[in-house]
Amino acid sequence: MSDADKKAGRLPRGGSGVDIALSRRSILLGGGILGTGAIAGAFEHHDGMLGGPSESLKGSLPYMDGATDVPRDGTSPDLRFLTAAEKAFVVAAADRIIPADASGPSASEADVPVFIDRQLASSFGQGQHLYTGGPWPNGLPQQGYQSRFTPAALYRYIIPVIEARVARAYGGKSFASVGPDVQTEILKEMEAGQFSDDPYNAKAFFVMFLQNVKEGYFADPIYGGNKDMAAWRMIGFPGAHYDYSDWVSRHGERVPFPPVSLRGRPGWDA
Amino acid sequence: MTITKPKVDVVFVGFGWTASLMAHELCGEGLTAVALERAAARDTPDSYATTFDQDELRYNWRHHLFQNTTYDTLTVRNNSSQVALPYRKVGAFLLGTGVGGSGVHWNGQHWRFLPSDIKAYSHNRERYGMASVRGDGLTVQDYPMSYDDLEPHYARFESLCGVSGKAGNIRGKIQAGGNPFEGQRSGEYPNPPLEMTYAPSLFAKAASEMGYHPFPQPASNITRPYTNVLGAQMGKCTYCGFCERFGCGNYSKATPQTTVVPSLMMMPNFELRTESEVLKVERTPDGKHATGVTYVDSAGQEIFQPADIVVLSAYQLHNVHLMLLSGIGKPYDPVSGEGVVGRNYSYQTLSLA
Repeated sequence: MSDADKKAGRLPRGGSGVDIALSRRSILLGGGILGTGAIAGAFEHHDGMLGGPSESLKGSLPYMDGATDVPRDGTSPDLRFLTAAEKAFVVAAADRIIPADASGPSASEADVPVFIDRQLASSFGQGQHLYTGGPWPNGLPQQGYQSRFTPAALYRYIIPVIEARVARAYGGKSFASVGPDVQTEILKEMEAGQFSDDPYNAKAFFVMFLQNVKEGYFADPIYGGNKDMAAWRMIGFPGAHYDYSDWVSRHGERVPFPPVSLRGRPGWDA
Repeated sequence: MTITKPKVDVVFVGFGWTASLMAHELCGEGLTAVALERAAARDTPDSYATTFDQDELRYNWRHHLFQNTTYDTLTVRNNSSQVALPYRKVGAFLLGTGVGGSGVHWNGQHWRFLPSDIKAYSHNRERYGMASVRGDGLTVQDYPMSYDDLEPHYARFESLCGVSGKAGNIRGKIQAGGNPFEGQRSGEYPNPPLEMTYAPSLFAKAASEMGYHPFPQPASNITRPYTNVLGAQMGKCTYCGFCERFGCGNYSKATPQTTVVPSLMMMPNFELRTESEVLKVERTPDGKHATGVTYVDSAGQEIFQPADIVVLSAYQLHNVHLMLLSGIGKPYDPVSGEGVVGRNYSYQTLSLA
């Protein structure tokens, strides 16, 4: 097989969103487990999974101009996973974890629920880089997450369980409407593994949710949260500057630059 | 139906630092070699360019450069009385994958062993007594070579990587500003040390005032434009702060791709096959010699690659797994202490400030 043949026969290595949507990986792996809205962003090249074409490489590692592995996953504003009821829970619970105060915005003011929605609709929610096969005993604490649920499935399963419990105890009210004190009490029970309706999954969810809220608050705004880079401004993080050479030896000085996001850099086209 | 490929002298299982360095040596001697890598090809400009490599969510929290545990993972337990369960998502224990292996996401901390590390059994027994090397089930051993045997190879690899650092001992002469306790070096580091940020500069000041000997850590993060012996050009580190768990888009971190792979790929007697996962090492009927490996490509085709030399150059646990699947050697039994396959496994152990 000549180099030209190889080039002609090789499927696109990333590229535009259309290429990604039609890649063999999406076709092989995506169809059965993803909603259509999620496919465009769900699978990325180079992420260490089998499924691309085997290549015989001599001369150099391949490079195709414009086919870089830029971040798309979870960046599309069109991705949707949460229902209205789930979203109301996420907003209320996230604002218990990061309430607004003088130092910065609340989780929902920083668009953390938007971030979580997109993440659940994309490869994180669908269980990429997460082994979900059996066996599923609860395991020891030091053996980590052992649920069979993908993150999206865990959100979908546990929120109604929590809402049912709240409705039972508080005259049909939802989590979002019982007020901060009760909400905090319920979250504490979940964190402590004492949420009696399903202590194991409630705790696993709390751990994941806490992480997701922090991620949505502090991650690059391309993923939908950290609105206006407010969280970075709050802590004085100047963002992902390319070059700090001039500052590395200026110890203790404040870097005066406003924060920068990956958004708008060349190569990032979502 | 298994396809058989033409025989080569050497086949490598996994294409990271080990395979790329060994293949460069062996192909340079005229041997033919094929490297089989289970995941995709990747290189600096397309996989982690400076325009998007500083992405903590994607690389640190979503594990973009690591083994995708959705499809393949390990099981873990702390001791044999527990039930081993799947390591479902990557935590502190990082499994690499893809061309360049963990050499893409490593930090660049480029230490040599101390002479006493190589003789850990005899050194510690002499200094601290037998209990320090055999107590609590310890199985510490000496390596069968000395630091001085390794020194030229350390120096050569540091030159290949353009390591930044400050020597503390050049041919027995202690050098100010370096580590006075290190084994003797044949020369200075290829590049000057990285500048210190605020926290380590405070640590260094406090340690100096207390009479200790702080020194800058040797790092495969390049401090000035550098061209290595194979003609690979590397760029000056910009201190962006995204090293371990990230790829470096700036050609400032030594990886297989930035140091040895370009030269290796140009050798006509070397071939890299990606998306090719090895299933088994095949052996002669008497079991004493490897004859090649059977692997599966992404189309599900089983392929036998005959070779005179089979090099298991994947991560250590994957090498052990493949040996067990292939019936090679005796599995280590922690109760009886018998068997060497899987014995003395340890993840990286390092303390630093």
